[in-house]
Amino acid sequence: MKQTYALAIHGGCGNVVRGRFNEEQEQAYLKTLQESLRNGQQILEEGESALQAIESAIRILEDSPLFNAGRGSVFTHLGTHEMDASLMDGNRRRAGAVTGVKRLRNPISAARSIMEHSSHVMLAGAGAEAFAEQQGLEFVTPDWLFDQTRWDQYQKALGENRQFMDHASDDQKYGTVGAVALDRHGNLAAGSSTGGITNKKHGRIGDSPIIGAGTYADNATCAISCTGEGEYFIRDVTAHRVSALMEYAGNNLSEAAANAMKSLEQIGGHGGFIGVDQSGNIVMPFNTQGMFRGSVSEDGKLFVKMYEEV
Amino acid sequence: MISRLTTVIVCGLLAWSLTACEPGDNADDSTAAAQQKDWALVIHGGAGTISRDMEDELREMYEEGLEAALQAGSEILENGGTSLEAVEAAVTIMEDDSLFNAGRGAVYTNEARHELDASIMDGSNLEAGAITGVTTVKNPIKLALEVKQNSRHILFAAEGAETFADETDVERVDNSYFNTQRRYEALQRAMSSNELMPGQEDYYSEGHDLGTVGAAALDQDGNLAAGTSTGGLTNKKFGRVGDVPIIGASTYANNNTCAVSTTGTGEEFMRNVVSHHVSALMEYAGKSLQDAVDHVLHERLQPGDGGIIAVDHSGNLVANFTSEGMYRGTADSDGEFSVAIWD
Repeated sequence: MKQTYALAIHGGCGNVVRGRFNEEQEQAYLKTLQESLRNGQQILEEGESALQAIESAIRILEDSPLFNAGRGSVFTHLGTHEMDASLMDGNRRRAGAVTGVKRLRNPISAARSIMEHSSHVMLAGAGAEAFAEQQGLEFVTPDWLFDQTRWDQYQKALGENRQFMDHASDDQKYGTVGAVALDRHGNLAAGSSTGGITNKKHGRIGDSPIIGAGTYADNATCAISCTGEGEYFIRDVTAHRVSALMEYAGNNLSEAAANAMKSLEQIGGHGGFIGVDQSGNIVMPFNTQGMFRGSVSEDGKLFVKMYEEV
Repeated sequence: MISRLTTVIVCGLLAWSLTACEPGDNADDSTAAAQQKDWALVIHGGAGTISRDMEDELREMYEEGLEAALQAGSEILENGGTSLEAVEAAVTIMEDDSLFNAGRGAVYTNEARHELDASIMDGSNLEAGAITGVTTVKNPIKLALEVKQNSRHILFAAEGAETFADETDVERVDNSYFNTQRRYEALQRAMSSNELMPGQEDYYSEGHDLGTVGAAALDQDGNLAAGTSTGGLTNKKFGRVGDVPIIGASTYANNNTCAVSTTGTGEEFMRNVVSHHVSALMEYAGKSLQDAVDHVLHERLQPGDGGIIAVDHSGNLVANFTSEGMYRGTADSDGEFSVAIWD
């Protein structure tokens, strides 16, 4: 077995503003992040794969009602839930993604199943659910996904703005969860999962299920998971851009992260991402006021934060 | 000009020392500038197992279809129209031609229906639009353009995309508009050979056209654009989404580098982020368009995966493939105008 391992996670960056949460709420968020990290760390500690670690860490965030993914997913314009997820194995650059699923407990596990048990990368909507059913994945009823806070946000967004494509409320706009990991065998993996944007219309798909935009992993470079205004990450192909900067411009991970953020800002994008490289270096840049994030490495030092550093 | 040249030289040195150039500066500018074209256009009508034994009559029909698309795009560019308009026009003509797997000639899904995908990107501002799984839109490329121009989003799916289409003027048709005998027979063949489950090794073998149409253009204002449209895979199941609606996989355009459209085994183009990969090789590795395309086709993709068409900011045109053939055409302001299928 090789050297070290490392894991980083994020829980979105859209509404992480000082004064928004009371101390109890802050503690609840940080505690869930810690739980996710400890879970992924245990897997890595035992020499299991980065892929297993990120899937498991993301499942914990999906099962929490706090984050906009899985159980905590926001409501669409029609009062339903549409979830997206993707993951990528940096070892063979295999990938899986799912978009517009409504009844799956853990979209990230469906993405993994698509990667491992189909010849496709992305499956959508009812077709994706049919595949997941064949694969024996867990389905949930709408009450699993119902959350009063999300419902109130949805009603607010509906009431505030009936205009075309405009959902004035900033609540949870950039909510996503994600994880990146390096395992003891030197393999990298990345994954992202989201419930989209509150009051979203028209079957909008953001960057989370898009390989190269919201998620990318390649053992030769890095593993990346993004969160933010998805459209900008799609246009700037952010996750792959970080990798390309390392592969072709000779950047190290932190230089590549800084350059990719600069590129994103040139088109006006807001958000952030987490990344890990072959040596276990971790980056977590963002240009919003905060980002739920955390990391842990072999020395056991666990780090969780939600606001910008001061 | 001097400062521009200085930037290029400094950037070249930086690239040499393996440090990133500022996005936007390109080490290739100095050599390419000498042969700057006013405009240039490249199109494709799909790649894959294209038999050389094709009857002359059918071959001529393909060539005429490609020429019509090339002609429409060229006229727009020659008359000072935008690259975005030229891409839209060329793709629309191929979508309306039942020979190609896009629009009218879209293949059948496992449910014997048609689900169409398209995407388009403007290299001047990196704005993009895309749709996946639409069933009643005559020209998906036009709806992708509407998404780009009239929404703050990039990608809309299925019923939601149809609802968005209701708010636009794009022409709608019944799903049966896309029915063609030839594609129906292909579905029957695929179903009878029991290739229902993705995962089988020969999923992409004969009978599964790697059909897609696409175009990439440079206009007289120096703006690049690219677009791609497809009817997907014959007999596809489970709501499979390929590379065509994915910005960075099948379609990418950036005035600083190039405009790209791809066709082939979609999954491989997604995993390798192919169209953005070509651009990144120019932007960060200082490669020429030709070298960037060849690198992706031969170093990242497997033989037979498909093809890439691209045009750079100087008007250099590339249409390369590793499959048996690729329906394609190139035209530019220097008088180039040709179509081809095989090597």
